[in-house]
Amino acid sequence: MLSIEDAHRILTEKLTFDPGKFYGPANDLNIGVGQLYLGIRYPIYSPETELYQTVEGAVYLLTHECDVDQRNARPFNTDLLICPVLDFRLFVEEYQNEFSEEVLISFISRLGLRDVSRVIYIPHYDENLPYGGLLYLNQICNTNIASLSKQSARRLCSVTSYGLQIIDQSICNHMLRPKVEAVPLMTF
Amino acid sequence: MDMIITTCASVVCFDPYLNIANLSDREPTPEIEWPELTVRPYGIDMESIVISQADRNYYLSEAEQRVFARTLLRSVSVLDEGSLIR
Repeated sequence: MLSIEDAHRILTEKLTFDPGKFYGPANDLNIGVGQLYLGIRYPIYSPETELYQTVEGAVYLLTHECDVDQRNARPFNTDLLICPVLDFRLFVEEYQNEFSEEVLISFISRLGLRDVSRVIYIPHYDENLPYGGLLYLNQICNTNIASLSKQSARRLCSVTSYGLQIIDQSICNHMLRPKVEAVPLMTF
Repeated sequence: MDMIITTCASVVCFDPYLNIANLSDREPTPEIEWPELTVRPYGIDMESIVISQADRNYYLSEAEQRVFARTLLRSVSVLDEGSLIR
């Protein structure tokens, strides 16, 4: 059984970016892309019950700050896209319940090398993300801006322009990569 | 009347801005800017984006996707069970 410390060390050794440049304070920033929040409400699908559940957890904001600026009275500015942040410690535990230590090492190495297009590793940040987290891009969902004003909600930090570029590149790589199949009516 | 029909047909069927030019067999002429052929600028620097090569992109297996779903459920506090009302 690989310890979380060893898993984190292996991942960090393979990282293709500098984790020390990833985060900064978010004190003076408006609500918007690049920020991490704790205790935000959002829906997740439960395969067991085949229903959506309301949960609270850590999220990364994806919506641009101009689109949710409440000083502008306009339609469509109350919902924002978020990506849940998965605790890396829990992921290591869960992965080893399903696969061997060798397979885990292989996976987290490829995660560090950014070969897994749909998952982004975000580095550690204080006691809330002591070993970092994962953004699984296929779990992106939306919440209401009121969720950020709830008592449970707390702004953790912001990524830096460097961190934002890493995440944006991964999102573009995952979302905008060319289709393998030809879509209809695209060729003359 | 014939002229009106011809004009309408040209505008509706061959107007590149309606993005239905693919339905015709007309070749784009050099002096027309075809919006669907123009690369639109993105908000971030596309030049620096590294697209994973197909042979290096790691795809998650079904079991791995279940691991991610379970990890998500353990990473959050569940507020309700989504009970069916009606």
